[in-house]
Amino acid sequence: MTLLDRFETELQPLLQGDGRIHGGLQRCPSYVEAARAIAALAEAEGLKRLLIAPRTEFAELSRELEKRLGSTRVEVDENGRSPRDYENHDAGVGGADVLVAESASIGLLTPGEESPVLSLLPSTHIVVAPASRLVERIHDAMEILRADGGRRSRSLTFITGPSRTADIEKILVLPAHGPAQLYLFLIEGL
Amino acid sequence: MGLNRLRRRLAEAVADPALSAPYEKATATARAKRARSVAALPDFEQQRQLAADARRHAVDELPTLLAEFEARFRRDGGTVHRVQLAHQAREIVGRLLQERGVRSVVKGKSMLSEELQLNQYLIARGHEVYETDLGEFIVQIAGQRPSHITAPALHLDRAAIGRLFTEKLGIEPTEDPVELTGVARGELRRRFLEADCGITGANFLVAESGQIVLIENEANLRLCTTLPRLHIAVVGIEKIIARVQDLGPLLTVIARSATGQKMGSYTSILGAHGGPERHVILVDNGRSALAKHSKHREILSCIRCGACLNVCPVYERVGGHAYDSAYSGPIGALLGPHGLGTDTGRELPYASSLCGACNEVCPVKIDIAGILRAQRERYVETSGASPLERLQWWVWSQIMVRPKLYRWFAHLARGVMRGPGAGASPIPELRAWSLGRELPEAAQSSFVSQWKDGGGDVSRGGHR
Repeated sequence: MTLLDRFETELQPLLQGDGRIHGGLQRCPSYVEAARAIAALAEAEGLKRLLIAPRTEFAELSRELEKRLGSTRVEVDENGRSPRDYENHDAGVGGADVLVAESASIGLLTPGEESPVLSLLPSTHIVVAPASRLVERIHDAMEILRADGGRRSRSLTFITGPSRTADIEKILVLPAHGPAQLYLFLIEGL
Repeated sequence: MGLNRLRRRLAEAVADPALSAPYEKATATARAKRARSVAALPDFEQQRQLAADARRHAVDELPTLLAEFEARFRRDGGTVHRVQLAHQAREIVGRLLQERGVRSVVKGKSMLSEELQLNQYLIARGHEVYETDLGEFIVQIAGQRPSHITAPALHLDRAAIGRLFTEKLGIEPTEDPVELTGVARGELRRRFLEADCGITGANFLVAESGQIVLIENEANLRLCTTLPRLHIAVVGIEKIIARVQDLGPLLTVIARSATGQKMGSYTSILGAHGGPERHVILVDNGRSALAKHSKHREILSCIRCGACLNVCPVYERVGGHAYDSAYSGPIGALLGPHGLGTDTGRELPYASSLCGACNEVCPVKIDIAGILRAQRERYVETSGASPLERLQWWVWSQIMVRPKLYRWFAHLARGVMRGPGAGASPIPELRAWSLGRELPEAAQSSFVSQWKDGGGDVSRGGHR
C-alpha cells in the first residue's frame, strides 16, 4: 500500500456523518487537471465564490480556475481581509505543507503562504498539494517541524477531516464550528 | 466528616437511575471505540511507553523546562506570566482584559479554568464570556458544571438540551442533535467574529520550541486562537514537555485513548510568532508541591484524556457531579487530596473500587489504583480511623503474624461461612456487605492441608 493509498483509506471514514459524505479525495496528474476537477466540483456543489491561497505553487492553478469559472467567482487571498469577508466565500482553496498518511492529516505552517482563516471560516475547505509531501506517521511530521527551525517557531496546524462534535449523547454531527466539507486534490508525480 | 458526605453523595447518585443511564451509554461507546483504535495500532504499547517516559521526564525536570519554554516563547514575541495561586491567575487575566479594553471573550474548554473559577470572576468584572465548545456551551447556559473531562454535557440527554435551547435561546422545540448543533454554531459564530479575546487552556507546552499544543474536534479552539486580537492560554505548569519529538508518541496515544480517533480533527501547535498577541499564564496552584512527592508526583503526568473515567465502574454509576470537583473520575479522585479542583476532596480516593481498570487504559501508565490506595493510607493516618476500626485491624494484625492462631481462626471462619444463615450477619457492617453480594462457599479444608494431602498438588488433595 502506498502512502497515498493509506491516506485515502484513512480519510474515507472521516468524511462520513449524518448519512452523508462530507468531501472526497481525487488524484490528479497536474495542477491544470486539479483546476479542472475543482471547477467541476464548484459546479456540482454550487460553490459560487472561491478564495485561493496566494501560494507561489498555485500560480498555474489560479490561472486555470479563473479561466474556467470566471474572475468574479475566483479570488486570490491577498492580505488585509476581514473575517466576515472570508465567511462570504463558499470555499477556501489552500495547500498542505505536510500530509500524514497514518491519520489522513493535513499540516499547515503559519505564518506561511496561507492565512489560517482560509481553512477555517468558509464552509468548504479544498486542499491542493503534491502527493510527495506525504509522510507515514505524525512522528515524521514532527521532524519536519523541527527541521523548519527558523529563528522563530512557526505554528503547525493539523487538520484531520471536517469539523465535528459528539457532545450531544455521543452522536456524531458534522460540522461543529469549522468547515463542513473537506476535499483533497493530490498531485501525483509532483 | 468528609467521608460520610462523600458516601451520601454517591448513594444519592446511585439511587437515581435517570442519572446513570446517559453515563452508562456514553462510557460504553467510548470504551469500545478506544479498544478498537488501540487494537488497530501494532506498536501502541511501545508508543504508550514513550509517552509515559516523556511525561515522567517532564515532571522530573519541571523548573528547567518551564524556564526553557518561557525564554523561547518570549524571544518569539509572546508573554509568559507565572503565578502560584488561583486568585493571582484570575487577577492577571482580569488586568490584561482591562488594559486592552476587552469587552467580550470567547473561551475554549479548559479544566484549569474550572479549577480557577475564571468565568465567574470575569463575568463579575463586567466581561461577556462565551464558552464555545458545544458541551461547555450547553453546560454554561444550563448554569451547571462539566460532568466529564472531554464530554462536559454527558449528563444531559437530547430532550433536556432541546428544552434548554428553547428556554434560553428561544428556538422552536427540537431534539435533533444536528439542528441543535447548528443553532449553537450560528449563535457562536457571531461571538467569534465580535470577540476581542480568546481564552484557552493547553494540552501541552513544548519547552524547546516555545509552542502551545491544542487538540480539539470542533474548530472552536482554532477560532479562539486565530480571530481575536488577544489570545491568553491558562495552563497548569505540569503540561510542559521537553521536545517537539515527544509529540509523536503523545499525539499517537491521546486521541486514541480519549475518543478512539487517530488524531483530533484539529491539532494546533502554536508559536508566539505571527497571529494575535499571545500570553501564557503558567499556574502552579499546588502542583510544584505535588511534584516533590516521590510517588504521587506521577499524577502530574496525566494528559487529561478521560480514558480512566470511561472504564471506571464507580464513575459510570455515579456520574461526574457526585465527585463535587472540577475533575471527576479516577483522575479527579487522585487530584482531590492535593487540593486540585476541589476544597473538599480529601476523601475522594474512596470513590473507587480499586479494580485497576484505569491503570490498564492510562496512556501514560499512571499507577492510579496504587496511588489511590496510598492516599487512603494517608487519609487514615492523618484523619484517623474510628476506635472500632483501629481495634479490628489490631486484632487482624495480631492473628496474621501468628500462624497457629491464624489457622485456628480460619477453621472457625470456615465453619461460620459454611453454616446456616451465613449471609445474615448480626454485625451491621457485615450485613451491609452481604446485601449486594453472595458470600462464596468456603472450602471444607484449608489450602495448607489440601497441599499436604496432595503432595504439592492441590487439585488432587483434600476436598473442595
